[in-house]
Parts: sequence; structure tokens; C-alpha cells
Amino acid sequence: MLLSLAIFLPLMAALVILFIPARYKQAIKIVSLIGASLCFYVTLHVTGAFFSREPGETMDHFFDNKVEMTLSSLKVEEQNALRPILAAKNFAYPAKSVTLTEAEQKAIHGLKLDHVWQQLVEMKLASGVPQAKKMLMTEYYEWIPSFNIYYFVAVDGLSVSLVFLSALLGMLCIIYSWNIEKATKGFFSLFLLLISALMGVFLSLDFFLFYVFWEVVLLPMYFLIGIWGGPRRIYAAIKFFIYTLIGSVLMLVAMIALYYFSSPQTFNVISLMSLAPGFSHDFQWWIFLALFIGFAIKVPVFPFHTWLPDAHVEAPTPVSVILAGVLLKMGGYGFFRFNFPIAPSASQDPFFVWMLAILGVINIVYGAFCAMAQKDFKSLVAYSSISHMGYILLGMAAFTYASMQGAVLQMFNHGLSSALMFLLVGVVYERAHHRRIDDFGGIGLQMPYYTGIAMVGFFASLGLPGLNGFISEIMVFLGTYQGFSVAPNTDKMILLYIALSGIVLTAVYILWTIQRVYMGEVKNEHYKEFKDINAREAISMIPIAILCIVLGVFPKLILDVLQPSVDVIVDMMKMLGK
Amino acid sequence: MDTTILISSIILFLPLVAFIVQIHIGRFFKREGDWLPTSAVGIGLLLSLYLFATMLGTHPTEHGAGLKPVMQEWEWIRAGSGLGLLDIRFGIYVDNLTVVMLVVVTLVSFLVHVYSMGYMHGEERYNRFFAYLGLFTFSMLGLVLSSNLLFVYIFWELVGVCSYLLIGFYIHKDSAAAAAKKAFITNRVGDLGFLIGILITVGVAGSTMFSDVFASVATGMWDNKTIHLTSGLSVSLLTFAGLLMFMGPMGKSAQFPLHVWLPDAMEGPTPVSALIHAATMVAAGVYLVGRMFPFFTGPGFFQGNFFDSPVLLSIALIGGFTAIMAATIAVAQTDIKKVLAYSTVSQLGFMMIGCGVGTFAFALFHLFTHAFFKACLFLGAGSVIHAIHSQEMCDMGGLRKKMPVTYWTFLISTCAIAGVPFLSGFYSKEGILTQALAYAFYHGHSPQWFVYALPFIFGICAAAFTAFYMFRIIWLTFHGHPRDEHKYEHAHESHFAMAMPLVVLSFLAIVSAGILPGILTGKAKSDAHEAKAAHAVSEFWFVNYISPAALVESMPAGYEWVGGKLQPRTAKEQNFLKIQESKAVAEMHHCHTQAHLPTLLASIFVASLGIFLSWLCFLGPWHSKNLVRGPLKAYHKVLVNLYYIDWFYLKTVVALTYLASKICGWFDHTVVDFLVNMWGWITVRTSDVAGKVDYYGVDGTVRMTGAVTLKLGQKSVKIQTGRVQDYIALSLMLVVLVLFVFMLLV
Amino acid sequence: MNFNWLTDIGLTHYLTVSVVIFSLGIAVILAKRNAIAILMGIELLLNAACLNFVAFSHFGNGAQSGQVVAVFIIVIAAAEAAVALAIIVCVYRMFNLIAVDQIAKMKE
Repeated sequence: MLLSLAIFLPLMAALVILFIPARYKQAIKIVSLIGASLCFYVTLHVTGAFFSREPGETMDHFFDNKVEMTLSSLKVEEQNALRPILAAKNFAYPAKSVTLTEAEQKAIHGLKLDHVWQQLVEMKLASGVPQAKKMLMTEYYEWIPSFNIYYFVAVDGLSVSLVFLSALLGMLCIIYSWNIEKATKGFFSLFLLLISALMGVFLSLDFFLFYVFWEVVLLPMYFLIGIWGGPRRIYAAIKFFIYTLIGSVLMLVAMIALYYFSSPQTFNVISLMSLAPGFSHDFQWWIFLALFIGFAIKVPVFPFHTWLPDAHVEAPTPVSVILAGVLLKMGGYGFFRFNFPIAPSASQDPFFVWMLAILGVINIVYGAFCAMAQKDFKSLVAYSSISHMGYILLGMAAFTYASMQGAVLQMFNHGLSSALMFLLVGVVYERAHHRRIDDFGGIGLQMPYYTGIAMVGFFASLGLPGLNGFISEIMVFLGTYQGFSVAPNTDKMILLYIALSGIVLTAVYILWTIQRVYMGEVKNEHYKEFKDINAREAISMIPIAILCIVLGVFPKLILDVLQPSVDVIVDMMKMLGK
Repeated sequence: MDTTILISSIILFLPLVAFIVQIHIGRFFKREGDWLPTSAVGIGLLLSLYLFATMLGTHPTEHGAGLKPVMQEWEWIRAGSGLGLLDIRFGIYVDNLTVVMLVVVTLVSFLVHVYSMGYMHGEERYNRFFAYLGLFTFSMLGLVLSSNLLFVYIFWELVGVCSYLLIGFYIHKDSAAAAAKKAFITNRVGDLGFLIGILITVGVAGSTMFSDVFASVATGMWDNKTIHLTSGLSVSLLTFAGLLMFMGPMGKSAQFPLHVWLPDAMEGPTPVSALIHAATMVAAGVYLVGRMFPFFTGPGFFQGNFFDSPVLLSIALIGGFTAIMAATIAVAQTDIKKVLAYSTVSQLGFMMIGCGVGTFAFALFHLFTHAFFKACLFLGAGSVIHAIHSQEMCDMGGLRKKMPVTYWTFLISTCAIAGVPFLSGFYSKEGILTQALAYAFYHGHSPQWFVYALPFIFGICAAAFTAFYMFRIIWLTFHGHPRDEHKYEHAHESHFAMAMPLVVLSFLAIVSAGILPGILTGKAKSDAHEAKAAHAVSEFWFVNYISPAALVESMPAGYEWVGGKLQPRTAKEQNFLKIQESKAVAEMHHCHTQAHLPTLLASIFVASLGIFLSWLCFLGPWHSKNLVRGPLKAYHKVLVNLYYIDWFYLKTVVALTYLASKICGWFDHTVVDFLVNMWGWITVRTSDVAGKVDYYGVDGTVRMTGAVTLKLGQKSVKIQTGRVQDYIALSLMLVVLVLFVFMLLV
Repeated sequence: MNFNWLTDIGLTHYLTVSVVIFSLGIAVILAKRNAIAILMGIELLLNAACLNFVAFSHFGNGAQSGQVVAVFIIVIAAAEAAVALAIIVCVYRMFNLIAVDQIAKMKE
């Protein structure tokens, strides 16, 4: 129930807003803040479950119980027919496709139990998957029975970090947006819809449901950029929308292919994880490729990245924050949730391993160089996101416990640091009304508090020890070294060395930016009138800055949540390798 | 928890707490809270001195003298399991070396805090300055207390960022901003190598803990591991990792070719230059080389042979080259802080020579003494700058009358750094040079003997230059006639907060080498004499405490230090260690004895020569002549331009990076984005064509049908006249027609 | 010369007369401009038809239905004349003339 609340609370707030007349702007803001705060409160509870001694029923138990309940709700003769058939099948992970003999089929068909049988098999398969043991708070209801589509949500360490991030950033952004006066009603209702959809993306475990939420994310984003954006907003919004849609189409193809090739036909991601190892390598190869491109556009991976700077530069600050902080993570999340467990054989294919590693290195180095070349402050931060996303790919290519955890952690950490950086840029943009880096200078003396927070944000992005960015980077590096120092990956070691040069390049562009914006002589008399951050800006930035520091000093806080869920992915691959 | 660990933790975390309080609410306190970090460091100093006294008071044993190492660890990051385990712990490790460093750091830091109360008085962002100092002290203490490489790296970066913040403290100065950035980025280049070294080490040893790393070297885990750089060229992985790891110290301790940031770092406030860029942070590199000495030495270390390692040779050569290069540049500088900065680079080079030639103990001893006299020199320079508001030596002169305390303390420290006998610098420098000469003798039969002799040659020349340019400062600043009467008139002696640290530091510059520890360790020393017959315990007090044995004291159980060699305790473990009768130790001992007297004479000679020449040139009979002429003129130009190294970097590395960024930016904007936009353009054009086809083709057919019907209607409408009779006639005609046709058909 | 056809009156004769009357009616309808004249032409047409019915009834199979229809036609003709004259009066009142070629309202 908690998860559904997390998904639909913002949506409900958005609905309430629709009934408030547009002129009551304050009321609209308050309602949306309440909605987002409630959602954040719920996610705190969800996150809390991962720290508690008794986290609640895991998914495998949930399904086992549900199977038993379904069976006992049937008539006795139906039970008698189904039980032996069910007992005869092997659902252990990895399962071969579950097929019926002609006699069994006839028996089931005769009792009109086809649908029940389908449900039972799905649940049995899902409960055998190792990942199900890490999933909590399962909710499983029929949605479109004729295509076996369920409203199926659950949470594990991988998703809970991103859910927490979305709710937190959503709430802070709503606070930050308090000064939006243009079409307030539309802005806030779309924003809440966006938060809802993001929650849905990270929580849903039915591929179809996931796809629906994935697409729903695009819609508010399109309008938020297209209406409240900068001068080239239409171009940016359309580019963003269409680019992502191309990726979605490939994902859709993969999804439908999986549905039709699995036996029984299912959209249940967890059941697919059990069935997928049975698919042929070639089939998995294509599935991996389609999913990869779909997610890579979102990450974004070179060369699919050019929508990002445009979208960021044009988007209003809170939208940029969500875009960088959460939307980009949808791609990374997709890799971990779908690519690896569903196409396990292909994900170990040398081609893809090389591809991941090379693209990761290109992202890191190329993104850093591009960031260096930018004249626009926001565009620089956008390219730094591209650079940072490279670490995720590199970590995935190495595929060790440490590197995978580092990659997942990098998603979370980048969510924090890039969000903070965009807020920082937004603050200075509101005062100076431009974003040309070279025209700034000497802001540090005028706005000491702001600069203090800026140092945290920029140094977190730079990977300074003591701040969160360092933890994920060092884990990726250490894990990647582990992974690349054993055969057959030894020839990829050179890629790691190239990627490591990223830490110098990152320092170059971050420090150069700090120098040009915050230090040096005040270039414009106008800057001397700048006021330091006000309460609205402070409230939206300080929690992120504090999290950056806390997670940099005590990484165990988040690693303990992530570890079981990430390790199980690696374990599953290893199990299949044997 | 062990008492030592508890005390160290308090020393470590007090400045951090002070920083956190100071940065947030410091400015609401009295005096903007400057007393808070100062007292935190002060307490740390007292506790460190307590540890130091404990160390000196411990009876020497067969393992050496001083504290038994203690370590406490807390889990920090943990991932995976089995072979893929990644277990990083935060650990505090305290041994003699740590205690010495603790004393150096807290002492200099405390004095600099006190000094800053006077020097920075009335400056904008005064409270932040003290907060940063507190953060720096915490990071530096963390660096020396860490029990593993990764945490050293972490604090290494943190001191880097403190240095960044403090160099750029005068935030409104463009030059300060540029210098801060340069310092951080140059250090990052070094850190890159350091990080790769750590990665390789973790890959082989499976741990970053010092003792585990040493054990991996001792047990042969690195044997037979090579890395192929290019086809045909391959080096041992240990050497490779060692060289890469040395990049870290190269950056932090400003060794050639990464030394360029340190002189620029003088843009920071002078107390910062004294604390960070002279006494403590830049010495971190030397500390690391000392701490990781067994790793840099390789397996030979465990047979007592410190003299055959390629990594150490590289360190010695780089250190030697840096020493002579920086010393020569210092001669041509006119900015007093720049001279001192290059002097620091040069002295750090000395320490590296010491490490490289195998006597890391004397290198660390030089670190110890250098911290005091160099801090004193910088603070003295700060005092002068404070008095006349200029850093240029051509604005100074004759100040000894106006500033007697500054003059005398500065003079003492100058004598110490120049190597005047019985002052601290003399002992440490002499120790290094003796070993360097012994190193040359030891390799005297090798075909490349000249290479092995280079560290000594560089060192002794650098020593001569040091005496020369340091006394140049004395003559130009404090003696002679005032060059700028106006500034001279306004000059005055600094008040107590600034003068007190100078006096303390100059006192330490005199006594830190011989006298004070001699008194403190009187009893220990007599014990040492007794122990000497059986065990190799040196005469010199410092070396007793900072010995190779002490470094590996904390190695996993099963090994012990016997007779200058590490030996496994049980026969079973002997397989891991090939025990050989090490000729190296005996031979080196012989060489060392040979080298002792020549070095002593040579170093006294070069010091006197340097002082005399500098008197001759800058105060004596030649001082009015223009010495920079003839062939010297060209060389002087090269020196003023710092051997064109900065210029070279600007034209190559910086320019190339900038170019690469421009190319990437252009490529992204023009090629990648163009492809995307072209794709969009193609789609739009395709849709245009499709639209045309639809409009003219499909829809055209539909519209044509309509148009034809319309035309037909327009034509046929004329039949309709409105006259009934016409209609009747027409219908009649039609009936007739129909009938006619019907008849024809029938 | 055989003049039997003159005396031997048969169906053909009646039909011929009917055709003549019908043709005259058509001619009047098409040629005359006066609406009343046209009405008279229509009467001729009706009468021609009526004659046809009687003739066929007489020379047919002896059924008397033709006669009945003839009576119907006469009645209808009377009704029609009444209605038509009423229309003509209306038209006259509206346009002040009854010349059909000048009234082309139906074109609109």
C-alpha cells in the first residue's frame, strides 16, 4: 500500500490542484508542497524498511503465499487437477519455459482454469528468482487480464535509492519553484504528475506498467520545457521528446518480443528473469541491444547525448534538477533492472562488454573535454553529467561487486551533486539574468553562503574525498581494476587508465569554472548588488549539500541498502555462468 | 581502545570540530572565533608532545626504540565477498613516525595559528581563514594517522583542497584564483598516478593497509608479475606501481616536473605559505615515501638491502635534479617569498635524495628540522612583508636595526638551512649527503656508476647554492642601506603574537637536532649503547626511532625483525622468504664509514663557500658591480624564466588540453549534434514529400472527383429554366427517347 | 377502294381519336402561355386517356373496370380543375399575370 501511495499521492495533489481556480496561486503551491512532502514522507517509511531489523515480507514469500491462497480459493476438484501439474513443473531459477503436455492442457482448459494457471506459473517463476528475495512491499493486482498485465510494484535496494532521490528532489524543487508566476497551476500540476510518473518508473515491475510510466514521464517534461523554458524551448522540448521516444520504441519492440517468446507469455519482469536465461544467445543479443539503445538515450551515452545540453539549457531550473537528478537515472536503472537479469548471456558477450567499457571511457573523457569548452554555465553542468554517467558504464563493463555497487551509487550521488549544481546555477541566473561563464567573476565575495554551498556541490562533482562523489568513483575504479585484472578482460586495462585521466579533467573544468565565476575581480558593478541566497533557495539546497557530506563520510549508510540488491545481480550472472 | 589511539583520535578530531563550529558560527564569537581552532590545535600539540615524550622515554629493544605500533580500524566501505572482496577501513595507526609527524604538524600549526592572529588581523573573512586552517590541520593529521593507503589518498586530497582554499583566500585577486587552480590541478596529475598505484596495489595485495602491502612484498606476491608497456618493453609490476605511486609525492612535494605550482602558491597569505607550503603539506610526499619505503624498495628491503631498487634510484635522481634546479632558480628571484618557495622545493628535493639513497630516516629527519627553520623563515618573511608592505627584496635593506627579533630569528634559521655546523639543518643535511656518497661508493663498480653518483653531486651543489641564495636574502633584506627610505621609515617590529612563534621556531631550529633530544633521551641513549653490541642501533637518536624495523613492526604475525632482516618465525613459513646472507648490508656499512669524513668536510666547505660568495656579491666589495653580464646574462634570463618550464607547460599541456576541449566542443556541436539535426531535417523533408504526395496524390483524387461533379452540375443547371413548359417538353423528349431506345432494344 | 375502315368502327379508331386528342392536349400545353389554356390542354389529355380506357374496356375481355376508371378520371379531372384554377388564381394574385413563361420562380 505504501508504494501505491508514493506513486499516487503526487497525482492526487495534482488532481486537487485542477479544482483550484488558477488565481489562487498560493493555494496551488501549498497543495503541491503538501502532496510532494507526503510523498517524501511515505518514501522515508519505505526507505526505513531497509534499515529495520524486520523489513517485512519479501517478494518470494508473498508469491508463495499468494499461490497457496489462489489454489485454496478454488473448488476441490479444480485444486486436485492443478496441484499435481504444478508440482510436476520445475520453477527453480533459471527455469526453462514452462510447457504443458496435451493431457494437462486439456484438463486445465476443460476446467476453464487457463487464466488461473497462467497466474500461478508467473508467481511460481517469480518467487524462485534470487532477486525476489530482496524485494519488499509487493503489490500485485490484475490490470489487463487478457494480456496478463498486472499492476505489479515492489521495491528493493536498487530502486529505493532512486525513489528516495526522486521524492526528495521533487519536494525541494517545489520549494525552489515558489517564485513561478507564469501559469502556476499548469506548472505545479505537471510537476506533480512528473513526480508520480518517476515513482512509477522506479517501482513498477511489470514491463508494460513500466513502459506506461516511462512514457508518462515524457509528457509533463515536454510541457515543462516547452512552456516554461528559455528562448529555444520549443526546439529543445521537441528534441528531447522525439529522441526519447525513439528509445522507447526500441524498448517497446524488446518488450513485445519478450512477451511473445516467453512461455508462458508474461510481462512480469521477475518471471522474465527466470525465463530469460533459457532464451537463445542471439535472441538475448538483440533484446540487449534494443534495451541498451533505449536506455542509453536516456542516460545519455555518447553519441546519443546531444538532447541533454539543449534540454538543460532551455529548461527552467527545477526541471533541470529533476532532469539531471532523476531522469538520467532512469536509463541507468534500466540497465541494472532489465538488461543484466533479462539478457544475462548477452550481457557477458565480449562485444557488449567492450562496448560498455569503450562508451564509458568516451563518456568520461569526451564529456569532460566538452564541458571544458562550454561558455554557458548550465551547458557545462549538463556535459559534466555526461562525463559522470560514464563511470556507470565503466562499472557495468567490469561487472564486479564493487564496480556494480559503485555504478549504482554513482547514480545516486550524481543525482545529488548535479541537482545541487543546477540549483546553484539557477540562483546565480536569477540574479544576473545570464549564464555566460566568462562574464561572471568575484561572486564569492558578494555571496559567501552561496559560495560555501557551491563549493560543496562542485567539489562533490569533482570527486573530492569526504563528499559523496568520491565514494562511487573510487568504488568504480577499484572494482573495475579488480574486474579488468583477470582474464579475459586484461586487455581492457588501458581503458581504465584512460578513464582515470577523467579525474584530472574533471578537476580542470570544475576549478576553471569556480575560478571564473566565484573568484577573481568583480567584472560587473551590478554584481556588487547581489544578495546572498534567501530562505527559499537555502531550504532547497542545504538538504542536498548535507546529504553530499554525510554520504561522503558515512557511505555505509547507503551502501548497506544497495549492497544486497546489487550483489544479487552479480550473483545471478555468476550462477548462470556455471 | 588503546590510550594512544584515544589520544590520537582526540588530536585528530579536535581541529575538525573546531572547523565545523568556526565555519558556521565562528564570526559570532569574540575575536571572530580565532581562539577556537587555535586552542584545538594547542590541545593537540600538548597531547602530541605527551606522545613524543612517551616515545623518547621508551627503552630501546631489539626491534629498535620507541612506541610499539598500535592500530584501530573501523569499517567504512565493504563490497563483494571472497576474491572480489573490497574492504576499506578507516584506521588510525600510530608508531614513531606518526608521533614525529604529529609533533611537527601540531607544533607548526599552532605557532602559525598564533602568528595569524597578528598577521591576518583586520582582514576580510578573518573567521573563515581560521576555519580553513582548522580543516587543514585536521586533514594533515588524518594523513599521518591513517593506517592505509586509501585513507592517505583521501586526506591527501583534502589537504590539497585546503591548500586550494587558502591559496585562493584573497578571493578577489585574479592571480590568487589562478594559482589556487594551478596548485590543485598539478596535484591532481600527481594524484592520478598515486591512485593508479593504489589500484595496482589493491589488485595484488588485496588490501590498502600498510602492513598488508608490506607483507605482500615480503611474501613474494609481486614476483613474476610484469606489465608490458610496449612490445618488448616490460617492467616489473612492483616497479611500475612504485613509480606511479611516487607521482603523488612528486605532485604534493613539488618535485620536478610537477613543482610548478608551489612558487605560485605564494599568492596565499604568508602564514599559509609557512604552514602548508613549507612545513607540513608539502612534506607529506616525503612522509609517504618514508611510510611506504619497504614498498618502494621492493623485496630487497626484507634482506636489509635498500640500495638496488630502480624506484628508489628514480626517486633519488628526481629529488637531486629538483634540488639543484630549484636552488639555481632561487638565486635569480627577487620576491622574498618566491626565493623561499624555491628553497622549499630544493629542500624537498634533498629529502627525496635521502629516501632514494636508502636513508629515509635522515630524509624524515630533514623534514623534521626543515619544518621548523623553514616555517620560521616564512614567518620572518611575513613579518618583513607586514612591516613594509612589499615582497620585493629591492624595496628592503637595512632592516636589522628596525626589526631585531625578526632579524636574529631569520638569521638563525638561515644558518640552519645553509648547513652551519651544530644547527639542526646541518645534521639532517649531512646525514643525507653522507648516505648519498656512500650510495655512490657502493655502486662504484657498476658500469653506470656515474648515474649513482649523481644524487650526491646534485646534493652537494644544491647545498652550496642554498647557502648562497639564503644569505643573499639576509644581506639584501637586513643589511646594507635601505633601498626604499619611505618604506624603511614606516617599518616596525611586529608585536608579540607574531614575534613569539619566530622565537620558538628559531629556538627549535637550533636545538631540534642535537641538544634537546639528547637531554630528553639521555637515559634511552645509554640503554642504546648497551643494546648496540647485540643489535644494530644507531648512534643518532632520530634513527633509532625511525628505523626500517619500526616501519614493518606491525606486519602480520609470523614475521619478526632479526638482525636487520625480516624473518619468518616458523620453519613452515620459510618458503615465503628466501633468506640470504645479505652482503649488501655489510658492504654498505663499509661504504658509509668511508663516506663520513669526506662529506663532513665537503658540506662545511660548500656552506662556507656559499656564504662567502654571497657576502662578496651582495654586501662585500662586488655588491655595486653588475654581476649579470657576459655568458651569465643568458643564463640569468633562463633562470628568471624558471628554465621555461612553466612556459613550456602553458604552450604544450595547457594549450593541448584547451585545444582538445575546443575540438571536442566543436565536434559535439558541429558533428554529433549536426547528425541529430540532420536526422531531424531528413525527417522533416521526408514528411514534406509525404505531405505533398498526400496533398496532390491521394487527396487530389478526392478533390478531382468533387470538382468534376461540380463542373457537371454547373453545366447541367442550365436546363432548369423555371418554366413548367420546358420541363414538360424535356420530360416528353426523354420519354420519347426511352421509348425509342426500348424499341430499338426489343 | 375499300372503305370498310370507315364504317367498321374498331378499337383502332378510338385509339386514333384518342391520340389526336392527346396530341392536341400536348400541343396546347407546350404552346400556350396562358395557364388556363394549359389547364384546358390537361383536360384534353385526361379525356384522351379516358377515351382509351373506355375503348379498351369495350373491346377487351368484357370486364367493366375500364368504365369505372373513366368515371374516376372524370371525377379527378373535375377536382384537378378546381385545384388548378385555385392555384392559378393564387398565382395571378401574386404575380398579376398568368403567363407561365414569365413566371420562373421554380428556377430559384
